Amino acid sequence: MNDRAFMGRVANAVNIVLFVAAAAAFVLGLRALGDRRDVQALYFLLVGAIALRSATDMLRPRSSSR
Amino acid sequence: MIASAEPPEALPLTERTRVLLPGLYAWMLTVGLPVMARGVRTGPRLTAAAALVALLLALSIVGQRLTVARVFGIYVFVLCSALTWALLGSDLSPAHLDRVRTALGTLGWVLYAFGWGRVRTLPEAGRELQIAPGAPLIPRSRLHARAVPIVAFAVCAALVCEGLAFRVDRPEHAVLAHGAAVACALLVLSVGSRIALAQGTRVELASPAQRLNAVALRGALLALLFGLGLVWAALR
Repeated sequence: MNDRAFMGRVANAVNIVLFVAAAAAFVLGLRALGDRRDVQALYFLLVGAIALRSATDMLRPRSSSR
Repeated sequence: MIASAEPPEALPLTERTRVLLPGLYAWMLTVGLPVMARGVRTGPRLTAAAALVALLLALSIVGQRLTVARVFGIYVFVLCSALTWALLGSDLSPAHLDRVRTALGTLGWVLYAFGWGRVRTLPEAGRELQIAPGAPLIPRSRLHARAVPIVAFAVCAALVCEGLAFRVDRPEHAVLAHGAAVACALLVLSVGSRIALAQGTRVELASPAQRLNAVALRGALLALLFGLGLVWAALR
């Protein structure tokens, strides 16, 4: 496996990790909202939004750099 | 490839069932059961019955007159259901609602909408598809093995988000929670499907270095937030 293919796999793995982290953060945020932990809910929803945007940007990095 | 469209009157039973079952399910949970309670007046019961009749009537003519069937099955059915809820008034307040039944009813309405969306794509009466017969077309590429687990995870996460919104018992926060849950579910499904399709694609979107560099700034922000979260958790 050459370096480019390896780096491609690393990029795919980071992409999936960011997506899973975003989904988990959303779930934790909504769970915290149900438990009346509003600040934690906002924190997790913010983290989820940033992680999901990062995962999206990895699919089309050129548009994100504009 | 489709050799020839079926005659409009011979709409398959499975297609009718695809609309009828979710519609009946949604009606039973969200309209039928509330009007069957004791003390409910005649008005809501009449509109609920009208909604059911409209749905059954639409399913009986969907093969012949799709436009008329759509009017009855969608507009009249939804209008009568909404009228029933309006006439029920305080009997339908959140205090009287069962959360599980409400969540399942929501799922029923979603399936009902998907069912009618499927019917919309079927050939209408008198307009048969003109597609030449031949061997089935072979897809240019197959989905990567990782694609299915990613989509399955996205669907599960979206459903969990929707379900968690029903745990919020404060009225104002519940509205926010349902809005946030719908937004989260849609975003997760959208991004998940795009990531799944990008796995093993022959079209190179960008170099791996460009892809990793694109998230450098937000990755640093996430690391900062993660550190702040750890400090916050340690101080509590």
